[in-house]
Amino acid sequence: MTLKRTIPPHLARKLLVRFLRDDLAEEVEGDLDEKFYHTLKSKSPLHAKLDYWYQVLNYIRPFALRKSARYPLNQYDMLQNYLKIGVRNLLKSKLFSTINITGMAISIASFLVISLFIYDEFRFDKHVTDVECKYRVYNERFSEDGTSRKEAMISPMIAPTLASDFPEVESYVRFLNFNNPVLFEVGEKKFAEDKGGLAEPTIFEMFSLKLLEGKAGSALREANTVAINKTLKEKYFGARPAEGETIEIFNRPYKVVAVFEDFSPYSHFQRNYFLAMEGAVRADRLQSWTWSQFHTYIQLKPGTDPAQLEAKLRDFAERHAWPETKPNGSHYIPHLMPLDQVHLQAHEQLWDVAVRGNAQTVYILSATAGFILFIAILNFINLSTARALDRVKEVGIRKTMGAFRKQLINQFISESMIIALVALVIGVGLAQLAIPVLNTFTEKTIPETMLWSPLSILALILFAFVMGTIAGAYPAFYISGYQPTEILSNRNGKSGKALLRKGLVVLQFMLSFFLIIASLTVSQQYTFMRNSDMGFDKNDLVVIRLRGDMYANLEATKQEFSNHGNIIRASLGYGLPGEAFAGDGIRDRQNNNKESGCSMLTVDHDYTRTLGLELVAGREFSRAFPSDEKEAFILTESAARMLGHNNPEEALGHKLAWPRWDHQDSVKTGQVIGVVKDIQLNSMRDDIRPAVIQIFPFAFNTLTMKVKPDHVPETIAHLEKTWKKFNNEWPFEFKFLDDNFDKLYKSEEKLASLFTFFTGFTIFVACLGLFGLVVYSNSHKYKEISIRKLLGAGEASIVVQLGKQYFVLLAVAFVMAAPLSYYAATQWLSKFPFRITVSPLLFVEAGLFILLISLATVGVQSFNAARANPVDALRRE
Amino acid sequence: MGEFEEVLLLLVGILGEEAYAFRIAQEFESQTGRSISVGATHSTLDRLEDKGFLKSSFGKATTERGGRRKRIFTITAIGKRVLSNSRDFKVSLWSQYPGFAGKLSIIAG
Repeated sequence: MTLKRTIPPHLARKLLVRFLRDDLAEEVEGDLDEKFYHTLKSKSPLHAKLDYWYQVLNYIRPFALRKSARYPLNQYDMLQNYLKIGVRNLLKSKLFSTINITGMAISIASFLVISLFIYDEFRFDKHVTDVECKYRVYNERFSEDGTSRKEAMISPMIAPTLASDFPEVESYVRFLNFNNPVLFEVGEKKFAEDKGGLAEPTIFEMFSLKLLEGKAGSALREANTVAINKTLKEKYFGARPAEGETIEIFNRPYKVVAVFEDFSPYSHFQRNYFLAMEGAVRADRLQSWTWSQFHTYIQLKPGTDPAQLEAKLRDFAERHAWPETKPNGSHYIPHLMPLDQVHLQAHEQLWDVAVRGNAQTVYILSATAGFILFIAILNFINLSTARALDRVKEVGIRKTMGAFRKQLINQFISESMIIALVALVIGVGLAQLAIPVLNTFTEKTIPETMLWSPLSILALILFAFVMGTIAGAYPAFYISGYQPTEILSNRNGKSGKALLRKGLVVLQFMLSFFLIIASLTVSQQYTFMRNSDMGFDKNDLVVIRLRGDMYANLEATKQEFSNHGNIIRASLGYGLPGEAFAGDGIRDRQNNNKESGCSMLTVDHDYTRTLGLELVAGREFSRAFPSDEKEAFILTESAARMLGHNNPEEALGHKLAWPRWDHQDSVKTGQVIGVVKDIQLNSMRDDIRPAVIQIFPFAFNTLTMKVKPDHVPETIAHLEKTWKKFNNEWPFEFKFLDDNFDKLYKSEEKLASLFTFFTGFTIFVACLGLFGLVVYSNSHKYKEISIRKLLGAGEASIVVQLGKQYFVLLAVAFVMAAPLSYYAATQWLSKFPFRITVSPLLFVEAGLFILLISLATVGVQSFNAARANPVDALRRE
Repeated sequence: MGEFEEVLLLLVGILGEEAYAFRIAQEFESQTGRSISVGATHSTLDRLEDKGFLKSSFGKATTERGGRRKRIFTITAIGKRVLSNSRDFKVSLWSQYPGFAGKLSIIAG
């Protein structure tokens, strides 16, 4: 028998005592106790306890409730009085109110705008049904040197083998993207359509696409069928149904089997049409473990632990894929990434088609939003404690008249609530105005009514109350803590705790420093990446894609286009910097003959000169050497290193072997004739990959032209005219190569400027606070200033005298913030293979910037104070 | 006066010295087979007291229930009158109801 007595639940009893009228407490507690032990006789302890809870909750009835006031005062009238005094105070000290309200309003607006942005980023793919069971499969590919990179495209055998090996894999879909637009023909309508690819029938289910026509189970099962989205359907077929109609694609009829609702803008995967995979890819090619071209998604059975499956994938790859990939020197391990995380988390994966955000940016912006709110709150605390002197008399009188401390606290908190609420209204207004700007800037479609749902209004009001309480709590406790005798007898009361205030100023400026250095680092890094030497001259390069008849005679095409005074040079080729293209392998016959991965640029004789590649050893391709066309390679420096050569000259003359793209099992061999400086084929965010350049007309798909920088419209007109000579089917298209790179950096640069923008706001709010503080402390120093002046002090020396202490604070803030920001900046930069160094100059810049701004803030105010007529100040008493 | 109030009033009369909220609730449950929370009972008793049908006072402290006293309810003169008025009214109704007129005399007697 246990000795432990079962007693009524403690929490329930406490609750009861809390709300129950005092005069009922004894009998009710007694009754419920009796009831509890009575129940315990026949039922389990749990039952008795639950019953006790039930009984307690059933006592929440009007007759039994404690009347809310502990002090039976007229609460309503007091509250009215607080509000009245609060409003009067706001109006009386206009500067204080303006600073606080402006600061809070700006910070609330910034916070809201950033929150909307972040909310929008996290919305991606949440609409997909059963999204918690759906995953993207991506590969982590290991090179022989132990480095690894992540790839969004994987080989076609992985998904079906996963499904057959692991019963928890319910379904999968493979998608093969078309890198180039494809010509669609319906009757008279001919357009090049982009964002398409080959897909399996499961694609609709995987992305929860609603079918407007056709059946999800059967669509895309048969060869030569196509599914198009609503927009395409309307473009080609108008209002009439499209199912069963024919579209000419690749000069072959494709039957429309489905029309799907356009992908939601909140889908990371955005495609306009799908051709059936069936029949489009040879069955034996789908058996490959090495042909990494497929975006792959799987759905797991409900309740499957993805971590358990993930743990088996290494072994899976080892069994199936490694026997095939290992001889080539690299191998991979598949991984799973939840489908709804792809948008934010997949930024490391190469060759992706996803609409990508960046989790890091989201974190940086959230931190900024937090900082700016925090600084506004610190402003309020600072100014309120500084102003305590103006309020202590009121406190003394109120206390003498019998006010409880709790009431005074309520009073001061309600004042900060008023400020927070006014700031909220202004802040929401500002945020509302900022939504369209944010939308244009970030190319988002955040609805303008976003802030007006009942839930967000409720959240906003709650937010204002919380902010008001946090900001008001310390000043309220602080001011209400004065002893009336102290206040009323001693007229020279101190104006609050100077040390705390100084500490808070230091904290604010630490944050400002930190943000300035962070945003300078970010923007300098992006400028650096954009302007850094990529190994070729990306300016004034116009690219057109070869279409239709242009392929008939490539040399003639090239001649035709370059036959114009404004075109300096032209080159045919495949593989342009700034576009994703295939990785490949190369062997050095004389150096261990092992296959090494590289980017393959298949080009013609003029490529190196057109792109302005810099030769470091050997020679460029030349028509003077007929063998160049069939048996010559040019390496980049890193490719030479990869093949085991310590310096570029060593590589010259070495025999290389490359598996040709046109005939399987045949190999092209040739000598290294030259070595050029490294070329960055991708964004500077990535490491430079080794590249091999060779002449191989089979793969040509673009014509790149170096044009004169002026007379561009004329040049383009010439190109268009020439284009028309070759075909009428394809609409004329061209682009400047540097646009490719603009695209690579654009979104990141935008986010960086967003960050800079909010940093500006944060500093503004911090300076507002500093300004207010200086005004107040100077206003209590009028006498001191006047006496100094009378004794002969010049205005300049008074300004220095007044400003000195703040610059000490700034210096402290700077010293404390410098190591922190240095650490953060280097951490952030460490992810970039090509990066700026965090130089002392950066800190000097940031320091000077803050110094100037605060000099302006403190200086103007101090100067005004110093210039005042001493007579006015001394007569005041 | 509602039916529930009437029953509680009667129960208070039946229980006499033992008429406190928990006991009344318990009795109500055992007599009617319906469950009722102590709070609901107490609330009604409180209302009946307001109307003047009941009065209450603390009982003596005992060693049970941690020495806490019970509030014992007793029917006031008005309460008794209201109860008997209510009964009389119903009896008069029953007596006008032909199907039960015979049996009623037994109850009434």
